[in-house]
Amino acid sequence: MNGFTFLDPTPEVKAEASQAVGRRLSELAGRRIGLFDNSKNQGDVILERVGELLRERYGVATVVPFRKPNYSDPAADELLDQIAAEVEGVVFAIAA
Amino acid sequence: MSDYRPAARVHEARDALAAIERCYAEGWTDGLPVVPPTSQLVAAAVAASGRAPDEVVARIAPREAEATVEKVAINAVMAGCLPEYLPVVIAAVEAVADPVFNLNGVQACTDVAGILLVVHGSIAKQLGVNAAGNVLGQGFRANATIGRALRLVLMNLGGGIPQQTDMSTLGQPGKLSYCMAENEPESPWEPLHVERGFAASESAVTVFAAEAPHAIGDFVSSTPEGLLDTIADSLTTLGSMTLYFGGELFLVLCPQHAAVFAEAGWSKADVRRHFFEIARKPATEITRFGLDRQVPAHYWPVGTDWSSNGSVALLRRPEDLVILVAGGRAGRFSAGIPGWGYRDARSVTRRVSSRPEDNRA
Repeated sequence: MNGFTFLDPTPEVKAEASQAVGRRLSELAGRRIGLFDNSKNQGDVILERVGELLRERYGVATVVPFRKPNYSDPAADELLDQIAAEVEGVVFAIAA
Repeated sequence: MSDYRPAARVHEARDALAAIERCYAEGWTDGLPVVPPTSQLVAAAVAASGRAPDEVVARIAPREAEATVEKVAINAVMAGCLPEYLPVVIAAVEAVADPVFNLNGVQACTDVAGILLVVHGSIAKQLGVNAAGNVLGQGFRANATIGRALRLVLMNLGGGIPQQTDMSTLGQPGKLSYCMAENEPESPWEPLHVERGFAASESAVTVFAAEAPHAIGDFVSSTPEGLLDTIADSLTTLGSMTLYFGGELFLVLCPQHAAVFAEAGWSKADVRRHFFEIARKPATEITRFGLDRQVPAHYWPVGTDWSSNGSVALLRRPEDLVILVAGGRAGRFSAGIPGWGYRDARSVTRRVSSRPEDNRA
């Protein structure tokens, strides 16, 4: 055995295991899709265009806008619950 | 100590120097060499913490992994901490995990935020945390390693890795270590932790997501109004995130500057009130190149006058100016330390829980 041992500074249990990833939609036609604006400048402009393209090209039935007022804070649980209840998928963008 | 059984994985190396290189190869360092965290060193650190090794101190954003006492101790040993520093490091980790601090935002943002760590009360004296000359610089083990330990925890447990999750455009030197204490004998006022409800000898830490210090030199002013004129002008700038986002601004007054206020009989409240009034930017300067549109309209204070007569206060509230006294007796340089006070994120002051016999005043 080697003479020198030392301990690992990183997590033992992978934290990814504690957060499940949501199911992905296999197709978009006829769906209700949310557009989540985090209030960064002109995010609403981009999302509006994304919503148009989703309807024109992918047959999305309805787009529903959502917004959090402060981009530096996590979205409130109530908002996340509302999104999960009202739409089947959501587009969320991160930009500087 | 020889029968300490770590929960952490054990790594082997040829010798200590090889272990230092292994830590580099794994990406476990801040760029400087670390002290390899042997079981023996970690056991001593855990023992000095006064807590059980498997106790969870906090979950650290963005990874939200559990920081156990043992894991914090491992990173503190790597930073070069002495065992007796552990209660302070643990309190700092608890403090940054407070939701009001918004660690997730701080860890991910493009801003230049480090985390200023202020050590208060008995433990600051006991551990020899420098509060005098070169307080924000190098040369003192407690300052250098306690601040460093917090950063290693944020990297190795929190997963805040530059260019991956930590998207800070420039970073700043304080992200290596940014730890100080107040020079209480030189201060005419009660220290910050007493303002926040702690007893003077009670040990506590304050964490503040903060830019690098902005030096403010004034060798002439002998009146509070003159000195605050210099200080306000130095900090009320178009590039100040405080102007656009609000939040706290720490003012580290050197002893000679603090004396100017003391001699005039000004309290901290007097300083805050006067600063709040004069630290204002003409609206026309903000609008001339469209900087008013830099943030969503609702970020500006209600009723902001954007006309040619209007001005915008640097601070959203006088209480957002947090005043510390520190540094050497020679020289007339104070420092403004703007925060990453995006919207509602605040600094957090947290009690250091150490064993009673360690808390000698």
